[in-house]
Amino acid sequence: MRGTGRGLFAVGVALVGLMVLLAVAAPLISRYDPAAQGVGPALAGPSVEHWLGTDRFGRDLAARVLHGGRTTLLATAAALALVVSVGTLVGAAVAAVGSIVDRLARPLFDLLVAFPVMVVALALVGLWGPSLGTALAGVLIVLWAPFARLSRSLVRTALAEPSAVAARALGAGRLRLLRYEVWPRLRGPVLVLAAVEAAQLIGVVAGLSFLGLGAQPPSAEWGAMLQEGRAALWSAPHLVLAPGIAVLVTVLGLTCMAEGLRDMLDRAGQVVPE
Amino acid sequence: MSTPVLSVSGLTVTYGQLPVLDGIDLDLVAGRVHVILGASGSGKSTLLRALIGMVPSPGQVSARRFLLRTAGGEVDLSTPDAWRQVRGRHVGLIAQDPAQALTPLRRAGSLVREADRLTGGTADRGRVAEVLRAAGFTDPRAVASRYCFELSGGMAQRLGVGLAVAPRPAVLLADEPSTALDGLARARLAATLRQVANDGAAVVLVTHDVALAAGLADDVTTLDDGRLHDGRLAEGVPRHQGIRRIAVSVPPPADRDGAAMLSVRGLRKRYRGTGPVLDGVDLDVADGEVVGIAGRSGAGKTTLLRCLVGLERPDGGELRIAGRTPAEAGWRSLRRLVQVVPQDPRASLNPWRTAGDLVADPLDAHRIGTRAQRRARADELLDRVGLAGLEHRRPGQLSTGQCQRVAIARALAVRPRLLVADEPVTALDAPLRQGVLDLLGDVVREHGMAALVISHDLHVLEALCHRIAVLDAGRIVEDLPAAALRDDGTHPLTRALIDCHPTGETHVG
Amino acid sequence: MAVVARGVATAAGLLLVASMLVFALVRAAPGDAVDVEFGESGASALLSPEEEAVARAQRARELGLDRSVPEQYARWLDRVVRLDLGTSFRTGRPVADELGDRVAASAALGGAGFLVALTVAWLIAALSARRPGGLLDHALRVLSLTATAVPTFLLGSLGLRYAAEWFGYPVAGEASWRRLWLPAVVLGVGAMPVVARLLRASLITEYGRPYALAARARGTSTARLTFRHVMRPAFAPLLTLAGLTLSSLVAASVITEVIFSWPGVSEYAVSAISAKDYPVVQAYLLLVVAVVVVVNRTMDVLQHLLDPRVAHAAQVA
Repeated sequence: MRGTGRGLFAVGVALVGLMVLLAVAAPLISRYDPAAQGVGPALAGPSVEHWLGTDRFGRDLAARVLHGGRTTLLATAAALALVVSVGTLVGAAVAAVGSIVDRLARPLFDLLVAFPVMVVALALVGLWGPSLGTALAGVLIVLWAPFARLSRSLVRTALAEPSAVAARALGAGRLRLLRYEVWPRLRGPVLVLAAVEAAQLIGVVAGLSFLGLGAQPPSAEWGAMLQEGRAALWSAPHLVLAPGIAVLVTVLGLTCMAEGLRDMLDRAGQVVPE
Repeated sequence: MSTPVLSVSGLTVTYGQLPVLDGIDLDLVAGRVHVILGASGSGKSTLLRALIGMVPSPGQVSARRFLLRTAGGEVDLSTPDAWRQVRGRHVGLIAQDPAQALTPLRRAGSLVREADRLTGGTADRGRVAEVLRAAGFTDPRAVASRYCFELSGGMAQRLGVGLAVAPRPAVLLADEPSTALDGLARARLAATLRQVANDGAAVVLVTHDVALAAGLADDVTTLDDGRLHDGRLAEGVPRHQGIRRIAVSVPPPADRDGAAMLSVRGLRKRYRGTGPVLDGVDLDVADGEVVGIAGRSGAGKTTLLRCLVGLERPDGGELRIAGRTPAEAGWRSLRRLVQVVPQDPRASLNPWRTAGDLVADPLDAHRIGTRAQRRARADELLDRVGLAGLEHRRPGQLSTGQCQRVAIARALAVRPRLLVADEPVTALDAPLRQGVLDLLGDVVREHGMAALVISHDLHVLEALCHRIAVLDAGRIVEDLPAAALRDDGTHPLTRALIDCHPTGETHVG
Repeated sequence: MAVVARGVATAAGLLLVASMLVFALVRAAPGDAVDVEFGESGASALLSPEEEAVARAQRARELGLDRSVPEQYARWLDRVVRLDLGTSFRTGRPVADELGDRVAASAALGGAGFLVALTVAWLIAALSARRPGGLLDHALRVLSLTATAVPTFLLGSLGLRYAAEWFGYPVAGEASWRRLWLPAVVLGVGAMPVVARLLRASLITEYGRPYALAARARGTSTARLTFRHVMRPAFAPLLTLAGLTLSSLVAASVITEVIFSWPGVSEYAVSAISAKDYPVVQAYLLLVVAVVVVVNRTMDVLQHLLDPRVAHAAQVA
């Protein structure tokens, strides 16, 4: 037995919440303008004046990490909301229609799920030119598929559950089935997958940006900062380390959420998605 | 009595604060079969695990004395390390489900060789053949090369027993070994166990199979709440665990030719890739009549039920409920007339909703009355089925019997004209069955509704029904008044069902 | 071998669907092949606008861009199947040759990374499955969670920097054993947690099955139980998820190859993107998709072979 997972989930929520809070309250926490150059010496290490040091234009790194969180987290959240809703709805629709549509859709979902997100995003960037939007679009093209696949199988099994069958036999209509039989069985696993995919999304977009194929400088975004920092990796590793650790903490939070939820679902005897 | 091979006293196993075994004293004597009876949850499996030194990890084992006497001297088994040399060699185990108890991806011969080497045998080809032949395989070579998952249930049973017996253990434990067996295999198993005892081993048989126990037992004890009691077979378990008396002596409805509540003509259904599941079923249920459908598993009982409540579309035939076909009336309105008490009460209740919500659910779905009226009706129904005050509990906080009562209350909510009950007591423990059957009989009479009861248990049907129809291979092969079935039933399947459910003390009421 | 035949057939079907998706993606990109050619070669500067329009139309006809989309797809697919993937704008060499030169390096890195992931995951799973919920289990779980969260680029770039500083790790150079180990470890760390979690769960399930219990009751030691009884069934479900591992390996290898200047296909593709070398991007996408489909199907077939029960069940059904 591994505990209930509640603790782990709480740690995850706390970490993610902390990052969101820092991003939202960025102007209150740091008194520097993230875009202002020369507020300090170039490439200085951490100090009382500049907590995380400065970059090569003398911009305050702490301010940039805090403000950068806004762009990164907002873009991730928006993209995630899109794939979760589209994927879940498509999967549920496929399961509800059934028959031939279902049989054709399933291998397609499987294929798209196997597509490496990174490579599709890379190809899109290659064809359209690097930007945060293109990188995100590339991720979105394939990332809805896991949700569709999950929700398809969950809706199908939920409708076959004895309690759903009994409810149908007693006279429950489509909406009642959806609300009372399908939704409770859907929400947990979808949340787990959402946390897992959010972590992947952040990782992939940050990785692309690190290679110079995502968000472009001079915007204060974690990925863009990573790319700038990469050039100075040898002389000033803190330029990579600061936004890198911000990514790490966020991803760690999301992963803990997913793990904790998995445990909780597992105990409740529900489906646990990969 | 001679000196025991294994003597245990004060054996206690606790999980956390909870004692599962509470001071067990047991002396096992060579050459005798010791039967331990006990209901599920009495600690039977924990006792067996303790007797082979394999209590799973959070469990704490303690004993005043735990001694094994072998040819080589006495072994103190109160420490886990001592078991390493004993398990398999001196104490053997026959597991409950033989097909599950063999490593599926190993070949039979390889398992035998491994077991033999672990217990100090030669483990050569000849020895493997010898063990397999002793286990009753006429062609050891062919069996040895087969994967265990390929073995049939009977073969797996023989191999499982053979593996346990081969090292000639001083103590042989058998855990409900007959559950998965038919008559012949059971007799064989009994003979083997007796032989092992005669060869000088102490045999412990944990079972609820009284027939098997009666033929073998030298000593009998009953395990109850973690303690052992001396017992005798006659008292240990009821001879028959079914229905003790006829619960509902319903008089046949006065008006037999009253309007047909349910009328089925030539109903057919086949699934993709199977033969016909329903092959022309004809069935009538008059208003106020209670009809039973008996049949073995696979006879098509469940499919018939699914067709009757519109969960499955029949391939052909006609179905009328209160005179109307589903095509005319629509299932939505027919479902106000027909309600179901499903087979598995726990699984068929939505675990996220409260008992009150669940009972009110059909009313909500059919939008009958105001919200307050629905809640009041739900409370009243819960009260009626004996669950007053439990309306805020969820299925997880209710016992299986209580769940079944919720399901019955729910089926009554819309005041249906026909109640369909699918194996209404199969999922319940024997002591609970009577109460649920009584309740079903009472509510059917109170509401004056018709009912269709589906079961493989003839006693259940006799207790509830006016008339019993026997379903076999998708057809009704017999349809007689319940009281006349035993005397007038002629179909072989009817006879077989009657033989499986002898009268005896069940005809008390 | 019906299993193998069916595997090949599904793989072919999936590859066809995948090729349509790739074609659609390439076609949807801004600027068609003519734009690209005229833009890249600089020919437009020598022509008057009218002449250019004529030349463009001429070239479009030659390339078949005036035909219907299905017809264009058919011609495109025909060329792809014959491995005619166009020539690189930068080097003027056929893209197929360019990629072919680099496949071995990528495969070596991916394989080594997978090996690292599998070894570490197996160790972690075996240790934590022995006492689920124990102290060791918790500690290893924290380790796994952290490994999931560390971004590849962070681990890679910092690893490279400090390995170079402390052990004199060669920062640039040919693909060689001396340079393989560090990127392989970086790759393996990223892919390890998923494998470890599945393997642990799988092992715990198998340890709890009646056959494992019965084997212990016959006197089997823990080590023997693990290796001779439990391991094979525990590994079987892992294979279907090898696809998952593969796609995370591929993703991580893009970053890793670039950071370590490892001369593999991904590193080549990334440099091609900066140079707007479209044929290379398209070929890279095709290559990865083909590998993913083929590996997934192979794993499926392999599972049938490793676990005869699956084949058995398939025959019965």
